[in-house]
Amino acid sequence: MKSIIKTVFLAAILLILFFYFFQNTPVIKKDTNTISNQAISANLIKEDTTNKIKIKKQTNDILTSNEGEPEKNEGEIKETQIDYITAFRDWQYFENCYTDIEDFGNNKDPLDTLAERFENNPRESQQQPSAQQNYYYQHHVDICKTLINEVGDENDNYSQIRSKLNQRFTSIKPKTDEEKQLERALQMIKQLESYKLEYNKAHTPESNLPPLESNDIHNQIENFTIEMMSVYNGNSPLTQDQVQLIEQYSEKIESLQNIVRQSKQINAEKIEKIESVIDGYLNSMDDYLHRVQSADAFILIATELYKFEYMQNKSTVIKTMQAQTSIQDLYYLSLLNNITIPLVACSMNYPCDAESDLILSYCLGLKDSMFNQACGTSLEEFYFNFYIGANQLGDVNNYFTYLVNRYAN
Amino acid sequence: MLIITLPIWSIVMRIKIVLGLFAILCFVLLTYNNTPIPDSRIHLNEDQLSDVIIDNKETSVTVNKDLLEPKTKTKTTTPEILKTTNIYDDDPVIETQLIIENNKRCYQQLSTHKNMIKYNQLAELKLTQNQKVFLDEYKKYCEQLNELHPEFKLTDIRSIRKQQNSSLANSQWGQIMTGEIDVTTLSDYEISQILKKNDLNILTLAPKYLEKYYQKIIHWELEDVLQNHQYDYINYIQFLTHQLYLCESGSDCSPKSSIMASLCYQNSLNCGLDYPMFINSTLTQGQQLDIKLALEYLKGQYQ
Repeated sequence: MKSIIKTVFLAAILLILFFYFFQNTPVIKKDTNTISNQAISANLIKEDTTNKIKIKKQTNDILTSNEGEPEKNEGEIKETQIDYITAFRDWQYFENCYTDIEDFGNNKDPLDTLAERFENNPRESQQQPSAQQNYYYQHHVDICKTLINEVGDENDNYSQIRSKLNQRFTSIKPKTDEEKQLERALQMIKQLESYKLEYNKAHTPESNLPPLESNDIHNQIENFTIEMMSVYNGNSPLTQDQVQLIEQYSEKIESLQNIVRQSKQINAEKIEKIESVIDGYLNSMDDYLHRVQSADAFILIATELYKFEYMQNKSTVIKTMQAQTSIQDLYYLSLLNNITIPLVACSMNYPCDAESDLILSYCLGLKDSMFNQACGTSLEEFYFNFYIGANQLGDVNNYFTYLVNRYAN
Repeated sequence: MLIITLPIWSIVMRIKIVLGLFAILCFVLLTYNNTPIPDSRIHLNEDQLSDVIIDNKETSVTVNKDLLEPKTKTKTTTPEILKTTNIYDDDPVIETQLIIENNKRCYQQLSTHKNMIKYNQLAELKLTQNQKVFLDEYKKYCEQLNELHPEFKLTDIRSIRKQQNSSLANSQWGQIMTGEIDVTTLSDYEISQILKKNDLNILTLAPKYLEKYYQKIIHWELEDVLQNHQYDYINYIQFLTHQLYLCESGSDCSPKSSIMASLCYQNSLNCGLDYPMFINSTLTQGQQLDIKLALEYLKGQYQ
């Protein structure tokens, strides 16, 4: 009996010691093909995760192979052989390199910047980055350095490099179907933005006075103001007559300004017209999305289609979604979009592994909070094992299913 | 051989046990050292606080003078703030803020400020027929309220704000609202005790004036309760649940309430519903389940 107690006792001690000494050891997974049970239940089984595009790796490989090549003249973008989609993603990713550029300029270790961010991190009271986070931050810094070396010069600032990355991307001609779809998606977004600008402008009240009358009123206001100013020379106190005269001018100016004010009205018809143009255009984007196989194009278009903006009527696309799902709360829709659209993209072979931009942004807090739990996992694992709560999982699953059923080819 | 090895084995085992006990002792000590140190600013114990806690089971949105009679018993050990001020005083600052808060939508609807008129005109263009019918009725209700209570100054929020700014707060909560008491000087424990008064007048405004506490304590605890770590989602559930708690505690959440008029503006499906109906019909199953969990948690914070 005693020996059993001793054995149990020893085992407990060993377990405690093991836990104590090994709990902080970073386990950095290079890749993962496993998907949680929840992911399976959410119809998220992918055909082959090993086919994921390792964009950053590609970039590094290209750079390594270009190392020996002579550099182009100053001001020119260095020639690269990367494809359209990689160039697009690089340009997008560089948004995350803002603080790093500053650090390079100030000869500061970017890892110190990461540590500083953690000092004020209230999440889980984690006051300093984990070994994994430092590892992945170094990886992120390397990506930034790579991109700088690829297109810029030592003295270029953040905007210059970003602009050069954009130029490099736009100078590449899309070749594959997916690349062409991304190009088309970007064109659509641009067109939609111009409609939205028109829509916003339509909300400025317009005067319904004929131009001649309007000019006449403005001239009158200007003349009365000049005359009113000339009544008082500023040297002696105002006489009773002068005060009366100023009051008369002031009343005249006020009544003219009232005419202008009352003539200004919101052109409801114009607003309605542009609104129907926007709705029609969103329908065209929706039709196009059925044919899209590019995950990048999917993210861009779906984000626009299911974006709800206050003070704007619901689009036909959103109304259709509401009729077929239980999602009626449109603020909640915007929260679900942030999670579900990337998940659909993952199922379209968008990079979602441990080294993907999406996971790096969660692991390092590049766009959101810093989650140590995200480091070294796939996006699906992080979402289903930690980020999304059990109750919300059903909503994510329903919305995911809706999007897949609607747009899957 | 056995005779020789047995004592050695026994000695080895004893050494192992001593080492094991030592390891456990170290582990316990280290764990103990990592336990959060109680806030040094806490200077009230439970007994002391129970002396200043007032029975506030009967709370009302409209500040009732009878309920606001100071009923505190203070001891010499009570800290400075609680000695000189009482939470349930008839405080004009709280009263005015509650009028604004509970009639927020009417202030917007009846505003004579030109920017607000312009905004209302624009907003009207976006309304569905259902929303228009409901909000026309709501406007009539606001107009009646304005006639009944001209002191609310529903057409001009700025004048009632001026009135509020010129009033003197004579309670702790009022002084927190005016900034006379800097919330950052209160310990987490003290704030938690203010919330535990379970006073509707305080709770209605608590997320606004105790924002940092809600972010620092309630938000993270709610993340753990819901096992969900999306910052904006947690904030949203917290907001929805806090409102539900207010409704269950007696706050006006009828279809004609300010909160429901605002929700009708946002979504035509909400027009004509009361708040619990809104939760049940507009929100998803997942949201409802999380609200249920969050409500239990908030009850623990407020009661």
